[in-house]
Amino acid sequence: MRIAVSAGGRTPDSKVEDRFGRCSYFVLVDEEGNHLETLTNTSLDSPQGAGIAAAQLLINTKVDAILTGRVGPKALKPLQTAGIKIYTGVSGTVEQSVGLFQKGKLKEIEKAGDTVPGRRRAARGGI
Amino acid sequence: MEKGVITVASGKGGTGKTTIACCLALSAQQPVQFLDCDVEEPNAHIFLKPDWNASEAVSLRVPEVDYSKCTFCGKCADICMFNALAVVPGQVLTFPELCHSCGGCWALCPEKAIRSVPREIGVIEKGNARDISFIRGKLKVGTATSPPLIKAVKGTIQRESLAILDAPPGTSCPVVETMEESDFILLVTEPTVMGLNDLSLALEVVRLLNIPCGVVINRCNDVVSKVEKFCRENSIPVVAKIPVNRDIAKAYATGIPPVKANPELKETFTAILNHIERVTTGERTCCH
Amino acid sequence: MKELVVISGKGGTGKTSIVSSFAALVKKKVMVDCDVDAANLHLFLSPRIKERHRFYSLPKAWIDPQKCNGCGLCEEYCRFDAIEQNSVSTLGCEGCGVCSHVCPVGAVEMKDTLAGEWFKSQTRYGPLVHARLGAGQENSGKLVTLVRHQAALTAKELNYDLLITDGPPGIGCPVIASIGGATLGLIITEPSLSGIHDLKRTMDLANFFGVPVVVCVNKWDICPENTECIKSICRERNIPFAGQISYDNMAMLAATRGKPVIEMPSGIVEEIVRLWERVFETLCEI
Repeated sequence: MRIAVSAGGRTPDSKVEDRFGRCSYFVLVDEEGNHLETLTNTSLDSPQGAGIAAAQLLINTKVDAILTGRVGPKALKPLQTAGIKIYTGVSGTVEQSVGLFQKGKLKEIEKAGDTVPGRRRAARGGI
Repeated sequence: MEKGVITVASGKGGTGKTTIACCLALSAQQPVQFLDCDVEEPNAHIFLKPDWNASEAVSLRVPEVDYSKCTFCGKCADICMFNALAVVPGQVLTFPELCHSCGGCWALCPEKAIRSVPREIGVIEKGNARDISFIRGKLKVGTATSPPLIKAVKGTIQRESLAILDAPPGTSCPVVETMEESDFILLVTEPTVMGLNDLSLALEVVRLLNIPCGVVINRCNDVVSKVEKFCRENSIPVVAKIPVNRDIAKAYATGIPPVKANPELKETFTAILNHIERVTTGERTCCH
Repeated sequence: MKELVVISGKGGTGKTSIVSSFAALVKKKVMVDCDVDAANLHLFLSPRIKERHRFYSLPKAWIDPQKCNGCGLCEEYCRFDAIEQNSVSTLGCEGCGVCSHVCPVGAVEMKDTLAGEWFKSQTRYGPLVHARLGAGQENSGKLVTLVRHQAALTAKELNYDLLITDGPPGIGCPVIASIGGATLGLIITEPSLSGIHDLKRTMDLANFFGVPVVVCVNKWDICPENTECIKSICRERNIPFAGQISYDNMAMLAATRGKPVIEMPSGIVEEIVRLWERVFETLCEI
């Protein structure tokens, strides 16, 4: 299994970066926590659609799951369509988050509205 | 003033740009076209109160994939600089709200598997307020780019008459789109540090476009402000100074244009139009 | 870390003036100016620039006259009318790169374009992160995002928990970039029909992006009837009314001198303090 974690550095001891599309790197590990490779997020600087581009990058490298802080609704579409499992609300280091994943303590998001656990949302629906 | 295109702009928002543009249209003493180009937050209708009579959707072309030809090679997503496409096994996802309609994906798809289809980005609404032919654009909330809608609004300009354009605030590309090809740019400012700062930014854009301009200082008090000094030092004509007046503020708040609340002001606006006519028909002087 | 973003929809409601007063009132925070198109907050805070960085937008096309064969394919394919006589207008170029793909001789280069600068500064009221977008540049929100991100980093370094952001006007990409993920939005409006019109669109926008907001009416006594109208709109939409500030010539005088109103002898100083207290209370509850 290939798991990508949004990170601020290239190695498994780096801190998890909160925003999926704007993180500096994706550190790829297997389900045992072994470091597979690290991808640089080349679309971090995009004026728009950075999340979509990051999603495309991970789809192209055949990732099975993503651990991150939050994912915007646009990026969710390609990720979910490609069948990639998405776990949000993750923090700490890459190693720590993989540890929590192994213990089944991370929550997989079901639908677009679930991007950031615990955040208060307005009562009305969209436009 | 018989004909020409006047754009009323301001670096800083809230200086009175829309109000002044409306007053100009009301003081024109001839049939005039008024174009509200602030497509994100169009407000001029509040003062000119047109009777609406037409509305048309404005579309931008966005990609649509023909799955009978697509091989999911991913080239379209690769070349899109706006990240409006994502290719997953068996599907091509499009994000039309991010699309800038550059045409790259449908032009360069190796299988010719992408066609362009229209996507609504907003509407153009038309109406009449006595002698004023009123046109405005209203951007669909969430749309990434407003210049294409502004361009469509400007497409209704009839060059044989007088057109007054209300520009969006600021100095970035929607403003440039509005200002382009105008005969005169009227910059509205106020005697605060913000007014001065943003006036100098707006002037940079005007100079890039090489169009004659003049300044209206709104909400003046008796003191000669730094703004006035700046204009003098830079040889920019101060075409009018409108005094701060709480009654005018109240009238504006209830949608009454200042020239209706205070008919003496009409002289000020007629004078502005005369100045612009002299500049645009006589010697063209640019702001240096 | 909590972030308060102050927006207005319509320009000129007094947003920056009020934010500059917040800067004077609040300790241990980082001020952020996200109105990169017409940045004004620095005019009230007299910043000393400590760091200066260049900002590049999407690369723009440039045709190498040495390689160009004059075929005109680039002009044919350009949907932004940015190419004329084998030359690209940087003002018109959108950076899509299509010309570089169609050029048969590889004469088109996509070059990094300097679009502005961003700064980290120190002021008498604490750190300020701000930026300046060049004239005529596209305001996609990228610079806004960068400024917010840098401000968050600054706050972390200083162990501060609060960001106070002066947002841009309108409802387009720059505003979207400034409110995404913010803890709370404070909408400063004015009691005019234009203000009310734009207030509704701004509320819709904040709702669309899931950002809770509260509303304050500035210069409320210019038109008390419209102020009441705004209050009922807030009630209808279940949006808390955070306060109202009276019209005072002192505010204009302060803005003429580049001073936060809080530093002037004015009756509205107390109203601004009360506004901050309400806003801070709401921030703490989230």
